[in-house]
Amino acid sequence: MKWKHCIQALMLPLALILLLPAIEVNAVAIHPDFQLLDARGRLVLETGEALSSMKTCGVCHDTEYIDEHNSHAHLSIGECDPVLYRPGAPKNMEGEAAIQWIVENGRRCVGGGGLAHLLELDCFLCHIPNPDMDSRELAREAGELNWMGTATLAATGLVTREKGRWEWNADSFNSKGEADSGLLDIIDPVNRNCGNCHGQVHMDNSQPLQLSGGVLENPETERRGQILSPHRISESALNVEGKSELSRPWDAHLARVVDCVDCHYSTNNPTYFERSAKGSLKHLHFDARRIDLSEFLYRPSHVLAAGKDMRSHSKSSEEVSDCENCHDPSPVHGWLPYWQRHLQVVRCETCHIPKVYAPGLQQVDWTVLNHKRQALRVWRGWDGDPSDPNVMGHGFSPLLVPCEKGGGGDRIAPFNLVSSWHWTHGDSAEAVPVQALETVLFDDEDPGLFRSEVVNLFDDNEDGVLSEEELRLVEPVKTEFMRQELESLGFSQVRIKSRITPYGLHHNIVGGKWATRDCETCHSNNSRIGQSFHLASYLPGGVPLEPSTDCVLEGKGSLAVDDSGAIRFQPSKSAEGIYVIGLTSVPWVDGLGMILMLVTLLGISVHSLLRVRASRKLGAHEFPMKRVYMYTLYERLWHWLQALAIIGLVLTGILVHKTELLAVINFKTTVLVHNVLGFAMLGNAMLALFYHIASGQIRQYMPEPQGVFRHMIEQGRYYTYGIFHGEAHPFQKHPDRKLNPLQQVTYFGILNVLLPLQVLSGLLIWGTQRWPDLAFSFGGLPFLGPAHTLLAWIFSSFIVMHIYLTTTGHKPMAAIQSMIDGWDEIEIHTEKREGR
Amino acid sequence: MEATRSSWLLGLVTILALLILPIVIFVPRDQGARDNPSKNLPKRSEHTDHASLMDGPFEDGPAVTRACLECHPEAGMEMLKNVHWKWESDPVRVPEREEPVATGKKNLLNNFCIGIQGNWPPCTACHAGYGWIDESYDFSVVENVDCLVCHESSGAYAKADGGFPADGVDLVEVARSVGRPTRSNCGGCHFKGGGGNAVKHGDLDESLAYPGARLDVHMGEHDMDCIDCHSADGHEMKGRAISVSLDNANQAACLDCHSTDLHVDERINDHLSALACQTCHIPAVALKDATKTHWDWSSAGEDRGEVDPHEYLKIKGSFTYEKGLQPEYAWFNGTSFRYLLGDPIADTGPTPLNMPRGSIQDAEAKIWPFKIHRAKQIYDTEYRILIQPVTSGKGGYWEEFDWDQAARLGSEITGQPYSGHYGFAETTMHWPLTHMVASGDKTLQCIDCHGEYGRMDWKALAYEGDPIRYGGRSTNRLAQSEKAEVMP
Repeated sequence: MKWKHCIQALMLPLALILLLPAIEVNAVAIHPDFQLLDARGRLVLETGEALSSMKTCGVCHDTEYIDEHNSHAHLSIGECDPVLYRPGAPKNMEGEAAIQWIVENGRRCVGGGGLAHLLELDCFLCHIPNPDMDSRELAREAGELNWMGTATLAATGLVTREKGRWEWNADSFNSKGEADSGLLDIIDPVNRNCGNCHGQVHMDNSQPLQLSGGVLENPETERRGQILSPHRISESALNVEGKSELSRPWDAHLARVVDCVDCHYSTNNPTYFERSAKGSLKHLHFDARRIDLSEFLYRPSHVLAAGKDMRSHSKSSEEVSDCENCHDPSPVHGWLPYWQRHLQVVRCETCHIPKVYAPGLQQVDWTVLNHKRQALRVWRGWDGDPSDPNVMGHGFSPLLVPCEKGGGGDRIAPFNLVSSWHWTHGDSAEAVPVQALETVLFDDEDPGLFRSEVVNLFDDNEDGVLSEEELRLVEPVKTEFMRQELESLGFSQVRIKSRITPYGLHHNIVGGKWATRDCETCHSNNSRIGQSFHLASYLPGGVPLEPSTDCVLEGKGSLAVDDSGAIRFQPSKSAEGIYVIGLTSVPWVDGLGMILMLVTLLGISVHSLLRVRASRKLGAHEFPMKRVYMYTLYERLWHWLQALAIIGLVLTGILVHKTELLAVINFKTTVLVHNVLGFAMLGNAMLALFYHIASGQIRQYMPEPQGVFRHMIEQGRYYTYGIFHGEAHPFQKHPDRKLNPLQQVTYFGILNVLLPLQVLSGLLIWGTQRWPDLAFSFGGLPFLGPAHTLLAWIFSSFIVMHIYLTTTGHKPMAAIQSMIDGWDEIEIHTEKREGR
Repeated sequence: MEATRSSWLLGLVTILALLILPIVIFVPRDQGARDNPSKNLPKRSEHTDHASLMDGPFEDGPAVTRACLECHPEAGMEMLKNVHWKWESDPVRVPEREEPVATGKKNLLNNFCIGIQGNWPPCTACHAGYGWIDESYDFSVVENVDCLVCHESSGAYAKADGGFPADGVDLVEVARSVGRPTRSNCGGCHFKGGGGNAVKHGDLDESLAYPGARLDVHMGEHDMDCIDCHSADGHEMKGRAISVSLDNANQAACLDCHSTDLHVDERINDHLSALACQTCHIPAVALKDATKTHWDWSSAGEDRGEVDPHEYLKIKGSFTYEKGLQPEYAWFNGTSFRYLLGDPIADTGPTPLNMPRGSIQDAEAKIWPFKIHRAKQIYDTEYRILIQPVTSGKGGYWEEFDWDQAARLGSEITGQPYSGHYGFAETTMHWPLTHMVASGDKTLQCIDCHGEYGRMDWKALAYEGDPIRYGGRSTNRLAQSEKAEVMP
């Protein structure tokens, strides 16, 4: 515990200083007043030039370091974003082409990094409470890249746009050229800053939350249906089904005042950064030699902690923000059976994002454009355009698929899948620019109108207006038209490319009360795992969907078309490494088991019919009998206890796999009863073994080595021949020799092979909780589960056979009767074998 | 054979027991509901139908009371000790005063209509008795107790000045309807505190007569009556209000019915030592009917013509009403520093008439939600005491619009000195909020108090900062260790 005190002692004063600006955003400005400088380090007020973040902030902070260590100053080069349909940045970000790229496609482009020579990193986007995103975008679209940072400050009043240029307002500066701190408030980024680019943030609830077109364009909301708000869904203005019952907040973390930057922190911030002492000294928990606060303020790394998903997209350090960084699941998951096992195979989000209540994209079709010159979009969980408040939403349950390696298998996590299509050309399948589509579709003279050829071809109901349904390239003639038109513009090999992009869900977490708690959600034949996921309502140009290459979906399922023509992703119920009890079944195991059972049943049916016929023919055949005390009390107790336990195990075992057969008993209870019965059976077997060894009765089970085969054949001959011809039992039952040779061999096999194997596989399945590595070394659940099932089928067949054979005594019920009261009547034979 | 059968039955039972017992042991037991507050509610017994018992005719109110007392002789004596009758408490000892003081509507000032002395007839229309029109009223006459105002259920009863039944009330019909007091009985006076619906409390108004579930979980969703919580054993109603009471005995509280550990959420439980239940469960009051938050007597007396009576009245001055009022918060241990007649007003700033007692250091105190009513009312500029003016009575301000005369008349009645110089002093009154309770799905959430958008003034509550970051009074280890060093 000492190190904790050490951290506290170190951290609290630091934290207090650091957090001061966050707490007292408007009351105490800890940031000193500063001069605004231009790119050459002169006062903007004097030169009238554009603001330079790097120079202005660089007076005190190491802005070069910040630019180099920055998650946001990064661009994915070459890759075309399927949703935005934004061509990847040119490989060589130089000159006019690069500027043109930013002007056309640089929405939400922070600058810096590889773009620094064209567009400087803009500190104020994130570090003032009121960055003017619209002005900044206007500056970008006007090609005034060096003025973009200045435009960010438009809402502060320090600078205004007058007569087509930006003018610094001298009134807002003091004599030293320092900006009025009342206007320019430097803050730790608040959620609104993040939301400007990442998704809809709704903090101030004086107006209820609404969806508007703009917010849907930011990826957390657009692609994942996530809304970053601490307020209750029921308090929003969204038209969601059952809203009044949804008193849960949109996001439990925001509701608990855990803000974006609390998880996505600067990775050298000494308050958060927990540099592990692992790998250094054995006795050290924590390396106290940490970056100093002043050093941090000089060189704050802007590589932010992020989830694993983001690591491929942006620069990141070892620091991963994950649930386990803050949460210890153990104290609150005691109610969940096998909770450790669940945590090994299921990411927290799987249960803690049960449903998404904002619209997330389902498909984006860039093969044509609508009248707003936008792609045709279909939203998941929403009846239509979500920005229309009259359209009803229902929310959607995310796709659950295994995605990352956990202990002993893939961990299941929630995803949204977005299908997209666009035209490509040339050998390397480059995206056809959106301008070409505009040329094909829209009138040169009146850019608000479709070309008359387009209207003629696409307007199915001839109302003169092209609806989104009409625009869809479902009929080949429309597809062919588009292709020919694009080719006539000079593109070759024009074709449609499709793609499925998965987006992992990590926000809009719910607390325990709202999380998935029913075992049957996954452990039933109606399991969410394995439920198909709607991908597309139609296929533009008939082009089938293709998962992107880095897709988590590879090998996890298949695409299927349902009755309505919709394309769905069907996760495989037995994907590699996945075995969900109650859902997964291995068909050949059950098939084989069933055949074995049927053969057994058929065999005993034929056998019993023959016996009945024989007894009719022969009449009652009487041997001299005598009453013998065959089974001791303990033997009977042991036997019936085992019998009931095994029957119980078989029945509960069936219910565990087929929960739907008996709805009154839930999965959790069934598993519990199965486990208890299993241990009762095991305990009983152990005691019985002890009894048999201690009393020497174990010999009863030992086949006599000599003549074992001959005796078996003899007994077998009796069952297949003698029994029909009124012969006496070849081996007389006797208190010292209760089992005939065939029984001895059968029990020898069952007790030495089948039972131990079944117990072992059962124990290992039960023990996946406690000793996961052990289970894993035996093949894990994907092997143990089917093995246990197969053995159970064999056991069941044995029990059927066993029960039948008990009726082959001198009277059908005699053997059962003797196992109840202990007294049996045995035939008195005169042959030499008697009394052997 | 019998022996065999019984022995195998015994065996079967043994075996089944061996299997079933461990299952029973291991199956987790249903914990049941964490809280069953309704079991603590008083049972509502069937009320005797009085239709055939009250023959009449009754010439006046006391005649009805005499009829009641024939069968309920003890009720009269109980009522003679009751504050609804006395409008005054038994003497109570408070730390800041040497002598025990008896307080109540009878002798206190507030910052609405100020006080009843000299203004009896209109005020005592809400007195549970008949005929209180001046200071000579005899509080020992049992037949003057008004049983009907609380017990009639016809809705056809009304009281006029002096507490007499209003003209035209059919006393026989009303007397035949008597039963268990309903929300409307209590609300007849308590919804209209301050002279009209919703004026005074903010959390009590006519919308609670027939409330929806969203308005108040107890009275709306569960259709509870006032007396379910304010139970009235021997006619002594449970409950205290710091506007009139100096002690906190026989207070009604959430925990009378609810258990303390009903929140599953650890984080919420951490709040229980510092927050009253009401703080989270009453996010706002005056949900349907606006309540008065400001009253400026100093602007009274002007002829402003046609103005909204919710903004200005010539006899009363100007007002502000608010709907959906967000409470203000203060430490409160259940009692207050009560301004009594003759107490000096504050040297600076408004004079609090009933400042809640309690502070962050007071372990008994919790943060409570209040409606604070701010007013300007008449005071003696020389003696610096608040004045009880005569407003409604003969020669009072409402007739003559002469403050000096109103003050002089009032002082004669109260026996307070009056210098002849008056002015208007700012005063505040705290109204602890405890009705209009929201169910769990509509309570305040973390964000409502903590962080950038929080409604709490942490500095005013004597925290160093938002306790989410600085720690609360029990969790601020840094502050505690500092204190430990200072204290011997």
